[in-house]
Amino acid sequence: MCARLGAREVAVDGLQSKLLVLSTLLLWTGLIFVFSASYPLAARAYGQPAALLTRQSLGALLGLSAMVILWRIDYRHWARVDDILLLGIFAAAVATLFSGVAGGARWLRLGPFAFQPTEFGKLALILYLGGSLVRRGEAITEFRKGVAPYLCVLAAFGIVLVLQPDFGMLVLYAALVGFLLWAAGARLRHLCAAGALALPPLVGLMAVAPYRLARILAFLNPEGYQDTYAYQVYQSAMAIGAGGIVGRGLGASRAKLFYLPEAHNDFVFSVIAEETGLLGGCIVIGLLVGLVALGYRTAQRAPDRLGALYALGASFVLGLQALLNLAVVVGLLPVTGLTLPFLSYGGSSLAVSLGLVGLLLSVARQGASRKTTEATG
Amino acid sequence: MTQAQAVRRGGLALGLMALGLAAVLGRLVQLQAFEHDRWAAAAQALHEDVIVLPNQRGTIYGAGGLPLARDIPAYAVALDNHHMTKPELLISLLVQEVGLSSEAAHNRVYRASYFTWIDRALDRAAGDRLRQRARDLGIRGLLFFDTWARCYPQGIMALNVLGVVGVDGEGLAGIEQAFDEVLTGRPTVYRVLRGRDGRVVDIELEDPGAPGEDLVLTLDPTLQQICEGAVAYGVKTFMADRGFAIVLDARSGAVLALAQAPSFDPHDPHSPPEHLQSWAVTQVFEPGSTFKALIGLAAMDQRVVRADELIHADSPYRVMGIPVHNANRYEQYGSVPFSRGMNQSLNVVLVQVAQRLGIDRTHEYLVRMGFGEKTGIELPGEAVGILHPPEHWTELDLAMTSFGQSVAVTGIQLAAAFGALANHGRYMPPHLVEGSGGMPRQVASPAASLEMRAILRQGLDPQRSAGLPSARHADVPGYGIAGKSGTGEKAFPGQGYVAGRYIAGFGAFFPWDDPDYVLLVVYDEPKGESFWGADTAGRTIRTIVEAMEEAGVVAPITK
Repeated sequence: MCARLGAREVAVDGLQSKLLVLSTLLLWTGLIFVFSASYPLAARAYGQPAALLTRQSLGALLGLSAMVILWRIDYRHWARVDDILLLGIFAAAVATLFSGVAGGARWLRLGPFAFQPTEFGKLALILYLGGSLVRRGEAITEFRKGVAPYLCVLAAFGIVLVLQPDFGMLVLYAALVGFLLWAAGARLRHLCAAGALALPPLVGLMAVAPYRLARILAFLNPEGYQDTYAYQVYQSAMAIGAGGIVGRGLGASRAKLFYLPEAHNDFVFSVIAEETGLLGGCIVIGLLVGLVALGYRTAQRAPDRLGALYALGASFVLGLQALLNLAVVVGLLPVTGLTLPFLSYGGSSLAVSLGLVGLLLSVARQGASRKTTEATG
Repeated sequence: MTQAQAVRRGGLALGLMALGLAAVLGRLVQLQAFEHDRWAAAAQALHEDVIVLPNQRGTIYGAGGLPLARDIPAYAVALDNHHMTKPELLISLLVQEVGLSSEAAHNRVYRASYFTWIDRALDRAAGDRLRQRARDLGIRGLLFFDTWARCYPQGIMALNVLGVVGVDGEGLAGIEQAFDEVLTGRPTVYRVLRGRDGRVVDIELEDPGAPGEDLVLTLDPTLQQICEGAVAYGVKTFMADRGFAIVLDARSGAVLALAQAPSFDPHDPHSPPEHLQSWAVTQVFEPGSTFKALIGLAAMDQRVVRADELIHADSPYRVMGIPVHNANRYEQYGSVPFSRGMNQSLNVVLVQVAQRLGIDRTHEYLVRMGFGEKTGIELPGEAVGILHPPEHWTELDLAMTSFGQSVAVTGIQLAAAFGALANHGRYMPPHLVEGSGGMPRQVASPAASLEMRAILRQGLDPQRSAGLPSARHADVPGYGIAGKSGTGEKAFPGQGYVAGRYIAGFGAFFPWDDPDYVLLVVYDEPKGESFWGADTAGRTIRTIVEAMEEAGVVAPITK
């Protein structure tokens, strides 16, 4: 594109601009629907319809800064600090357990702001896994030297996530670890064995926490529990179904009038589908799919294995989290509590999603600079 | 493992996610394309309330344009129990301003609901006071809806004709029921979008509706009031179970008054709803001797008897071997003129006259006078009465019919038949709504009816001692009242005629030569000093006419 520039002065190429365009579109869509879905709640709780939008915008600013920083820093530098970063995030995650926030203790308070360390943990985990797996090299094909250490890392986070509790995030973490191990060359049977190892504790957890069982029951028989366990899922299906092909119109959701709990949060897609119908829902899903596809393209064009793993990890975590959230919202999976990247309310979630895009941009930028170098040199 | 291999492996895993995505998209299509109608309906049922507010119901006017029942603006007051504040203050306010008992107020205030009716028709003054005081006291949660309350500007009267209106504005009896559709109009319909917190988000007017149409009745409020007072007094004095009084306009058949006692009392929660029905319309009885006047009219019209013709009157007179007696079975009368037989109410005379008419002609006259079919008066539940077809009549049936047994009639049928006698032989179908009424028909010649009325006048005329002395109870000097009393034993299934249980009636009209008014008064089982029609219903006729004079409705004819 700008071949006359030197390797270190490469301008934004097509891939990066596509990433920028898609993530910007998703960001704005998210802000619009967070506002639409949250204003009845914000008006009631804060006396100001835009209260939650304001908070979300702060998250967006934070996320955009993170994105730009990640973009402008050569991702290879992260390999030097990735273990310290992960350790720091882990410490913060442990700290949430003692933060004394009633109910779901996922938050850590920093002055006026609260953030969710395990959201940032997704990014830290990708950085750590990428660096570590590259360093490990061919040892990955062995279970004890290759796979087991990462299982220990996962187990450490797993304990925190179970105690928080944030089961959905645990599933996401586990899938991310498995995915990157697989991409780095781990043997399938090792991964399967690890999965089998994890199964009994998962079933045990389900039996211990009654709400999890209730969610499963609700998932299996939503009509039967439409006023109790499956209330949220039933209301979500009602909102989506009532939206029809073209929707009720922007801002016209009724589910958000407190019929659908977490309408601005985990279930924001229900409001999107209710207000803009099947068409709008498909456009939003299309944007997310496009972003994941661009991430994959980035991996293909990555200058090295580290960059490829980073790009794959970032695409995977965005894609899987979106898929899990959508599957819950349309009633195909039990409720997990995962947000929809870019679209759900939550500053941490939005900032991390933008950060992940920043990482993709960084890999794309280095890929472009390599191509330029190859072309000029 | 090379970078390319890693990317391929990653791509494989990402590709697997496409399967999940396909499932999500499939589910979206299912919900939004195929099941949209179902979910939209469920959502509407959950999110929206339909509020139906009745519009102003048509006014029911009486004769002379006086409103008998009219809607006035009122409040329907409800309570949102979840958003209510200061419940104890609210209870005392409801007791003071709405007139609830403290127990009822307590029950309505402490109810787990977003919506509890307090009063469906609270008058505006009380409602405004309630709203103002609630505001001053900082009580929240009361909801006020504009609605209507039925009120009775002439006082509560004629509810057995008018009927009443239920809390949802529906006519429950009488004219209100019969003309419900006309009177109701179309209600105003709102769709209210509510949040789950109960807060109203949006109100949409679905149908502005339209007020109901007015209705003008023939009922004369003055006459109605007079009759209601007279018949209530009669029921008390004569210790009857119940009674009614009908006043018809003799020339048009318009019902000017249709009163009964006991009558429905809207302020008494124990008042039986059947009192909202006019039993003069919905129930039948054997008319007894009042019927003789009608048989007489038929006989005069057919010229089978003359007024001064002497007829043998001694009892028993045998029909098919069965002895027929006069009311006073021990007195022998010898031969009497027909006119005297009529006024003395001698069964034996009327049986012979009916025999001269024969079964077919008698039956035909009764049909023409409106018996055995509904008069078509505009009230729900009108009874048909019993008039057997002539081929089922025996000579004994004919004989008994001549003095008003073996037939069953409604009060309105009997009054309308007397109307034909009064209106120069022309039957005018009785009606309550101005300008309605069925086709008139000539039942008998004007000459025959005049002659019959002259005979009946003799019975009441104190100058002529033609009739029973008691018949004169019905006379008011100067009005030329003519009429016929009747006292029938009540028949009960399986028991036949039961002694001591009577229907006492009196049919009358005045002035006899060209009547303006037809009156019928009937008491069910009078148990006082006398059970005779002339002594009971006859006295009420006089009470009514005297009250009409007092009210300036009529004046004596000095001739």
